Amino acid sequence: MTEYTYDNFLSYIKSIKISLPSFKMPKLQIGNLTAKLPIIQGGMGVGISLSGLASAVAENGGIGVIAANGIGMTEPDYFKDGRAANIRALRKEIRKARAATDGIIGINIMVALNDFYELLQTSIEEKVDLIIMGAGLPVKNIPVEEIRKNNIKVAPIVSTSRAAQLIFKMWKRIYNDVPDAIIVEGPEAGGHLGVTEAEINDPAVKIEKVVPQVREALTPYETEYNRQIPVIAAGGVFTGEDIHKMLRLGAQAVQMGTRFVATDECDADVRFKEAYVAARKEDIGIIKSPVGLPGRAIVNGFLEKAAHTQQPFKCPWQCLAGCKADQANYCISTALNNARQGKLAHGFAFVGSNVHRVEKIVPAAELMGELETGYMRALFLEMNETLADVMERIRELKGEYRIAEAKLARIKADYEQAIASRIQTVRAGSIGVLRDEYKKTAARLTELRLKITDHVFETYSVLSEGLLK
Amino acid sequence: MDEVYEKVKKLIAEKLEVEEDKIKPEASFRQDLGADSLDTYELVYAIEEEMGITIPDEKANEFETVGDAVEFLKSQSQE
Repeated sequence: MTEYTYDNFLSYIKSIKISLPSFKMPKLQIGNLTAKLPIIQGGMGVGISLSGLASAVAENGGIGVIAANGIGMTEPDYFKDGRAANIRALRKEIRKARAATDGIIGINIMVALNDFYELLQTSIEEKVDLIIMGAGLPVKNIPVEEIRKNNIKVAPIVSTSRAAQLIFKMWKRIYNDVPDAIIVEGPEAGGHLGVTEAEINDPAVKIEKVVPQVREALTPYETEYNRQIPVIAAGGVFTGEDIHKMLRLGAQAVQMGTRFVATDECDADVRFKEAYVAARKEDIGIIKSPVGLPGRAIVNGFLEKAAHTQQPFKCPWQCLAGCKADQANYCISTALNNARQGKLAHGFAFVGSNVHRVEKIVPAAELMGELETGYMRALFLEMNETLADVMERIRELKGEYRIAEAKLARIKADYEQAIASRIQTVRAGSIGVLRDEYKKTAARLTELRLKITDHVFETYSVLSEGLLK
Repeated sequence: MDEVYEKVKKLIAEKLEVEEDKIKPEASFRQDLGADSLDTYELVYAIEEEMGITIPDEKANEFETVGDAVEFLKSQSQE
């Protein structure tokens, strides 16, 4: 008779050598573009994310993004010829980033810029990997054919599922093509927001609400164009745990800005970064920008003054389509450029809603490492919760198994004794009864063993499904 | 009423999902017809396609009322 012992069973399970999948963050796949980490560093202008920050993020496995708006303000002749300065500076920054890393470099170009098409053209000529377009709908006169020829990916930024659908519908109609990814920016983001001031606290525009809506709205396009269209969640994403949460909501990646300002590699003056570290929750406010949109910023002396009194300025060249320079109290590009240089008495810093949680300035690699760790921690906790149930059931079965095992051993002993003394009856009954009971108990053990195996495999599949999703 | 106005009226009714009798020259897109910026965008695109013209964004942003849009479209078709 075979020995069905628990110890045998355990060594069998061990011999299968189940190797659990790792807890690493999933990669971000945009067409044939693969980022090691599902993290895009958000484009931040004026001059906050240039080649320094973008290349550091790209080098560490994320997607680094250079902000194109007002980029020419780093050039000496911006006030003479803003358009030319912008194009020259953009080209320079892209090349610097390319020289610094083989990682993925993107450009953020605001649709509302008056030189949007020139900047777009320059980015195509320089063959960047990804072009991100927000602050307006990137629909009309997009050189899609040229973009495709140069193998460049396109990702619009939207705040609602409706805007996403409109962009995809129009692209399909005009170009018979659709963007490669979409960034959904919620109301917790920094800088200009895609919602009205009244909507900021409306639950309907919350990122947790909009991401699944956009995910669903784009599914038909994924089928039609036979490609995956990643949804990238942005606005208020602060920790690795937040990243985990966004991926659970159906996003494939996140875009983060605020955290990347507080890095050594961020291109802004250290005083700008220190303002982030120093910011308290009560310092954050929503301002009405001269371009007519609400924006989240650290409300400082400059903004308080500018809210009701005219700050003398000269409009460099009407850089934004929607800017009513003649009615504005200040020039937003100049103010942001001053802030970039650390001159916060003459400017201000745009920030995300969690800026008060920024504690120190760290190397980008350290920040990204922290995000990875946080993600893994969140995943582990989630798995633990899911697995607790299964573990409990396995424990119960193990107990039952041990009892059955003991019973089997007892019957076996009785049986052997009965055979040895060649008598027809012993204290447990006739040999026939004993044989039946032995068979029944052995069958029960087999059943239990299969059940436990099932549960072990269930545990395994819960883990792997959860991790690979 | 003329042809341009009738065309625009039909497009507005379709894109903004409002009844045609609500659409009057003095009706404001935002206040009376409940259009938001995305609606306006879609409407302008529909008008462009239907009439085979281009409306510059800065012009489109200036349209307050149905009359403004019709006025602009007429000036375009005369050229």
